[in-house]
Amino acid sequence: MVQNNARATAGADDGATAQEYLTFTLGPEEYAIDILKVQEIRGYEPPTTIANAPSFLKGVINLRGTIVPIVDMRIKFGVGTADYTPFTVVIILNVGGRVVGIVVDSVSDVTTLRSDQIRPPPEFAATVDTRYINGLGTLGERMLIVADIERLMLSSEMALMDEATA
Amino acid sequence: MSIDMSQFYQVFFEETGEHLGSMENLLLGLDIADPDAEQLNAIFRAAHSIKGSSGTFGFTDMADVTHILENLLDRIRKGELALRNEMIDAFLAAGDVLKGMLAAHKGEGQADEAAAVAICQRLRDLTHAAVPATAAVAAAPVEALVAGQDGIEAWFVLDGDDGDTAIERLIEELGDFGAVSIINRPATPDRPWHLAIVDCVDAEGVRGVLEFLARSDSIRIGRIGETTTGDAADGAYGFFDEAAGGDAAVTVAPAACAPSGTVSTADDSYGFFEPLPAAGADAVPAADDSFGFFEPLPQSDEAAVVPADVVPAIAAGSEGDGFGFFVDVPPPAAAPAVQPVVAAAVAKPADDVAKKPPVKLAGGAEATIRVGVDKVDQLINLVGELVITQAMLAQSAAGVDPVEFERLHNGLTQLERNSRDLQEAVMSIRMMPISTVFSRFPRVVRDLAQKLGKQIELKTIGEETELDKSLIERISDPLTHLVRNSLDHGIEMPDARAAKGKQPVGTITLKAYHQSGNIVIEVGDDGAGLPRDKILAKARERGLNMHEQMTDAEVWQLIFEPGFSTADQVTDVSGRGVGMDVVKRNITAMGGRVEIESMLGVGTRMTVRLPLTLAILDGMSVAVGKETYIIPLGYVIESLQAERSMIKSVSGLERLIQVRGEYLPVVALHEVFGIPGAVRPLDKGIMVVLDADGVKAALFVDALVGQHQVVIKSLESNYRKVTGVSGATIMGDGHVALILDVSALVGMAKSAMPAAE
Repeated sequence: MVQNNARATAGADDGATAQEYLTFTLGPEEYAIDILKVQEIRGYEPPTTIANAPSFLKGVINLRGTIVPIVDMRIKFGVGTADYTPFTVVIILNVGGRVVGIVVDSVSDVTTLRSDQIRPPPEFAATVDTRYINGLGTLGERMLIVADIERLMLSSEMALMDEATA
Repeated sequence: MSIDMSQFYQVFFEETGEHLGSMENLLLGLDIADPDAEQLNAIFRAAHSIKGSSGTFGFTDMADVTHILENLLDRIRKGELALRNEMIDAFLAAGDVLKGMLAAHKGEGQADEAAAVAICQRLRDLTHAAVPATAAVAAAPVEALVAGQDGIEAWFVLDGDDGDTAIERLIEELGDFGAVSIINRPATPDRPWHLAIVDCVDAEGVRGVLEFLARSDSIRIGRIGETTTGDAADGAYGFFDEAAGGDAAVTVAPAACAPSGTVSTADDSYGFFEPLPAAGADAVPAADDSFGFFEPLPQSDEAAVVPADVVPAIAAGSEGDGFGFFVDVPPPAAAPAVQPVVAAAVAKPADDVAKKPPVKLAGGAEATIRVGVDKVDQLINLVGELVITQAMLAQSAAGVDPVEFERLHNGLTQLERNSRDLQEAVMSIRMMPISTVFSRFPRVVRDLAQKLGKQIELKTIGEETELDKSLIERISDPLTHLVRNSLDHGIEMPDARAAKGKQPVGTITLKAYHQSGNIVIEVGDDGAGLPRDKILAKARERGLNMHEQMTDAEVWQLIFEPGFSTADQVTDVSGRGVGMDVVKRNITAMGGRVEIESMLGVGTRMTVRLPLTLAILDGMSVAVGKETYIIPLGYVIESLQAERSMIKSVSGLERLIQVRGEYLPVVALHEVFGIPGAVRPLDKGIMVVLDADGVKAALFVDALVGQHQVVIKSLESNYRKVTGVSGATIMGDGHVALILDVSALVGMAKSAMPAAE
C-alpha cells in the first residue's frame, strides 16, 4: 500500500503518463473519471421533470442561469438504490461543450493513476458498455472503473442530445 | 516588420459595408432635378472613404472602381455635370459591384469581374462624355489656361535626384485628382515645381501624394487664383492652404477674404499661432507646441459657428499676439515645418469641419462603440440572473415582519427598481431601429418598379421604432417578400390605375409601431386588392380545405398555403406561389403573426406582429400536478372553467368543449406529458383556449398561477428538443419551468390522442 502510494507520487512527478481522476461510487462499484471533465460538485435538488423522458433523466435544474439536465447514473446502470437524501451528490460535468449533471451515491476522492496502473477491460457483458470503459485501475485493494465519461454522455444511448447533433 | 493587416479586415468589411449602404441610401434620396450639395458631398465622402480604405488594405479592385466612381461624383458635386437618372443607375450598379467584391474578399461568393469592367467603362463614359475639354488642357503648361478654373495649385521641391522619373510618377498620381498642368518647371532641382490640378478640391489628398515624393517642408497648396503670387515659393505663405484641405490654418485664409459665413476654426488657429517663434531655428519645437494645442480641436464644432462678423474683424488685423502673424510674415522655415504635423494631427476632423455645414455636425459626432453580440448576450444573461436573485430575495423577505425589518424591505424595493431599470437598459442595447430594414426598400421598390414599368411611391412611417437585433436580421427577408408581392400583384399598371380613376403613381406604405408589447409592421398598398373569388376558385382547384361561407380573413389566409398563387402568369418577380408560405413560416417561427386586410380595388394591408425580442416572453404560468408550465401569452385567447354541459364527448371520449358556439378539441396537458397527480375531471380544472396559426384548441390544466415576463433559456444548449416544449425559463424561486410549444400541442389535438385510460 505504502509502496503503491509512493509510486503514484513518483508517477505524478514525471507527469507524462499520470492523470488525475475523480472517483465516485455507484452502489458497490467505484468509478473514476477524468477530473478535467468535472466542473463542480453540488448537492441534489429536485429538478424540473421533463415529459416523456427516459426514467434515468431526472429533469433539468437551473445552474446559475443555465438549464442543465440531470442524469441519475444509478438508474441508468441499475446499481444501488435511487433514493435522494441530503447527502446525494450531483457531479456537474462539462463534456463536449455541454453541461450535464450526474447523480451518484457519493464522491470518494481525487486520485492519480499512471497508465501502467490501468489495465484494459476484459471482454465481458456489463450494463456499462465496454466501449465506454477505458480500463480498470488498481489502487491497492480497490478496483476503479475508468470510464470515458465524455463518450458516454455524448452517446445516443444517453439520449442527451438531438440525434442530428449526436 | 510587416504588419498583419488581416486583423483589421473585419473592421474594413464592416465599415465599407456601412459606407456602401449609406451611399446607396443617399443616392436613392437624391432629387435628380435639384440635388442637394450636402448629400452629394456625403456620397462623395462615402466613396472616398471606401477608396481610401480598400487601397490601404490592398483590395485594389475595389479601389479602382471607387476611384472612377469618385471622379464622376466629384464632377457632379462641383456642378460640372448635371446629374442624370442614368448616373444614379450607374452609381447603384457600381455599389452592387462593390458589394460583390466585398463579399468576395470576405470569402463569400465570387466577384463578377466582367461586371466590374463594365461598370468602370460605364462610369468612365459618363465622366468623359460631357467634358472632353479638360483632358486636352492638361498638357498645356501655361498658367493662363488654369487661371479661370477651379482647382488647386501646388508648389513643392522634389525630394532626391531622380527629378524626371519622380515628376512623371507624381503627375500620374495627381491625375487621380484632376487634370494636371505644369505651370513652372524649375531650372534646378532645388527650386520648386509649380503645378495646377484642375477640378480638384481634395487638397489633403494632393498633399498626401506630394509628401511621398517632395520635401514635405516645401509643399504648398492653394486654390487657383486665391493664392498669392505664384513665385512666392519659399513657403512663407504656406498656411494659405485651400479651404477644403482642412489645415487649421487654412480657415483663416478664406476668413480673411471671404465676406461671411465661411466655416472657421479661427479662434483655434489663432491660439495656435501664438507659439510661433520668430526664428526659423525653433521651428520644430513650435511644431510640438501646436501639436499639443490641437488636442481640443474636436471642440471646434462650436468654434465653427463663430459669427461671421467676428472673423473679418479678427482678420482685419487685430494687433494681438496671435494675429501678429498676419502682419509680420514669419520666417520662412517656421511655417512649413509646422505644417506636416498639423496636417497629420488635424487633417481628419478639420476636413469634416470644413466640408460640412455646422448644423450637420451633430449627426456625425454621434458616439458609438462596436461590441460583439456575445458580450451583450452575456450581459443580458447576467442581468437576468440578477433579476432572478432579486425575486428570490423578495420572496424570502416576504416572510419577515415588515415593521421590524423595514430597512431590509426598503432596500429590497430599491433593488427591485434598480434591477428592473438595469434590465431595461441592457435589453435596449440589443434594440435597433427598424430603419435598418426599411432602408433597403427604396432600392428594392425602385428596381422592381422600373422592371415592371410601374410607378411607385414608397412611404415609410415609424422608422425609429426599435426591435431586437436578432429579429431585425430575420424580419428583413419576409418583409422584402411582402413588399415585392405588393408591388407585383397589388399595384396595377399606371394606365390601369388611371382607368380606375386612381393616381397613376401607386403607393406602398411601410409602417412600424409598438402596440402592447409587440412591434407591428404594416405593408400596405393602394392597389387592386385581393380577389376573393379568384382565391376561392384557385383553392377549390387545388383541393384546399375551403367553403363559400369562409370569412374574408379566412380566405386571405389561403394565400399563405404552400404553392398558392393566383397570378395569371409567372414572372421572374413572383407568381410561382413559393414565398408567402415561407413568409408565414418565418414569421411564426419568430413568434409572430401575419394578418391581411384587403378591399377589392382599394388596396391590401399585411400586418406583421412580432414580439419585441426573442429573449423575453410574456407568459401565463399554469400548474399541472406539481409542475409549472409557461404558455406564451400571445397564443392565449381566454381561459375558463368548463361547465359539465360544455363538455361533449365523441365516441365515448370527452374530447370536445363548446365555447361560444365553437367546438374545440381538448388537449389535456397531464396526458400529453404524463404528469401524475393532476386534476382529471374536465370540469374541475381550467381550460385555456389557444389559437396557434388559426387552429384553436383548449388546453386543460389544473390551475392558472399568474402572468410573468420570462427570460427564455434554451433547453437544447445542454439537452435536446422536447416535443411540446419550446424552451425553459427560471422562475422567481430559482426553479426551472418549461415553456410550452403551443403550435405543437395544438397539433397534437389534431392527430390521434392517446386513450384517456
